[in-house]
Amino acid sequence: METRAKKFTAAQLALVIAFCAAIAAVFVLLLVLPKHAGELSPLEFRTLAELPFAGKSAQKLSDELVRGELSDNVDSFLEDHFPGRSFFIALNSYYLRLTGRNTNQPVIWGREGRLYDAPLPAHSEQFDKNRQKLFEFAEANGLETYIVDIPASALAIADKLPAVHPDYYDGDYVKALAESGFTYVPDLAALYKAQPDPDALYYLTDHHWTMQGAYVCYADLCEKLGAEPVPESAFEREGYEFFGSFYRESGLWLTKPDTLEIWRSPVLDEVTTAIGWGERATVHKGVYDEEKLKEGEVDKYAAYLWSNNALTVIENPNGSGETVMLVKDSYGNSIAPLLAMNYSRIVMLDTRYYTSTMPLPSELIAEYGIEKLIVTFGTESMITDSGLAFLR
Amino acid sequence: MKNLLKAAVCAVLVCAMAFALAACGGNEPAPAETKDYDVIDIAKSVSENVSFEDEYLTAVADIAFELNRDEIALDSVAEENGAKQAAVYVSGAYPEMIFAIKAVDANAADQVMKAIEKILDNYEKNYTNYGPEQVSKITSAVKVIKGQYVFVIVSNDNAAAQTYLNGLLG
Repeated sequence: METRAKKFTAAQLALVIAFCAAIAAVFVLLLVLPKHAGELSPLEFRTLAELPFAGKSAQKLSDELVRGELSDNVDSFLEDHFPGRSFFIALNSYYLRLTGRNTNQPVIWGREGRLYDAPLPAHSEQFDKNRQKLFEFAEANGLETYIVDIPASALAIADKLPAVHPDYYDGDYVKALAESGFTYVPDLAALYKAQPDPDALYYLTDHHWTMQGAYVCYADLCEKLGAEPVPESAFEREGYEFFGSFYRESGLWLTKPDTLEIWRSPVLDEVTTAIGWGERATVHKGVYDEEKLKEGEVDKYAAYLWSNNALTVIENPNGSGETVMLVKDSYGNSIAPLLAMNYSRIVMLDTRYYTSTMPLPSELIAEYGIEKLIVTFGTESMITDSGLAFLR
Repeated sequence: MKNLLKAAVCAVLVCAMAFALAACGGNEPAPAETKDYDVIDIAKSVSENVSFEDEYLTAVADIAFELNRDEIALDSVAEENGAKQAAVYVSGAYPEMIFAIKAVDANAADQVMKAIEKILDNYEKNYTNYGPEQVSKITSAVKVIKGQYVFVIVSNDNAAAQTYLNGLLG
């Protein structure tokens, strides 16, 4: 009679032992390695998952268990604290890259170290609402309106895109805005392509325009606003090593850093920046948060005007006497210091963070006698942000 | 001995399956409550007794605008003596908020919660790039549906906020 029990060969046994040992090693490392729960990951720039059981009552844990949230929390914790997590993320990204893939959503890997945003959708209902809202607000308050829609870098620096890539529709949104009756809507992609070095106008590892990119737009805008652009030579430039949002999302940790520039001027040293409103306003001297420029700070772009705040008022005692309103997303933080060289006051609204308890924008317009509205939005904000509803 | 082992393994598998099914259960609404709450008082009490990073957390005065902006259908919110039974507190500096809303019924409460979850998603997206240290507040928000009532709190200490809210709701 044939025996059912089959003997393992030495090789099979070694494989089983190695497999079990690998799993055991990961488990042990998971237990003994230091945990960084709730801390900011400098590479991924996000807060790592908290211990799923920490500080929770038995009632809360049982509620989470029933709702399926506890297992999600355990998964998140294990993912974030998996031994060698950063190494494995990079391994995956470089493997994909070396095997011919040119994207690890939402980032597209271009040539010469340039990273790109994945394309935005071709149609957006929110865009139509926002365009209508801006038009109505400008009409109701008798404002000259200058809309700067900053397209993805892929439009201005197309030559570094991979040969095969999806289509970008940012230009269609800019065109639609230009046909909507606003005072001025620049075609920034065309303007940038006409510059001697378009590559210098967007960061390699981040979605934002560089200070140079903001300056090109500022100089163009000044012409239409009837202001005299301050020449580049009036600024002293400082460079700081910077890794941007694409870098964090790409997993390509060996990518070279960008240089983030701070443009200094004695005029800007005299400027005050008030963040918040009423009794809660915090007033700073200058336009840069020096703390964010220090060694080890991950997000140096946040140095511009103390990052994104719902309401900021910049005052220049040496300005032209005029006040303008700037409705912006993060792109506006680097062009606002340039505009502050000209104007006495810039009332800056970030509608993504605005609330119903803040002053009505139309009240601010009346209070400061504002006649000009400048909007600087990246295309993504222009087609997704619902905060423009606060313009009333 | 062999049978005992088999039984033990089966028992473990049954327990694992029960937990897995529970985990797949989703966010089922609680059965309808008959108890009546004053959402305005509850929101005020939470604003005064729960820890918020923003010391200026403020009640929204124009509640109709707020609900409309938040894409919460006005007719899904209960009305008493001509006033919508809703209180919303917001911060202008942090992603902190309180929503206390009495919907017209349990189904409407589900819709209200979905609209608020959309708001939380937007906040999470905005803060991921420009204030990641705030994101855990949003992802661990207190979300309670009790019959036709909806309560959402994003605070500095959501575990304590949950305990405090539970105490108020009884």
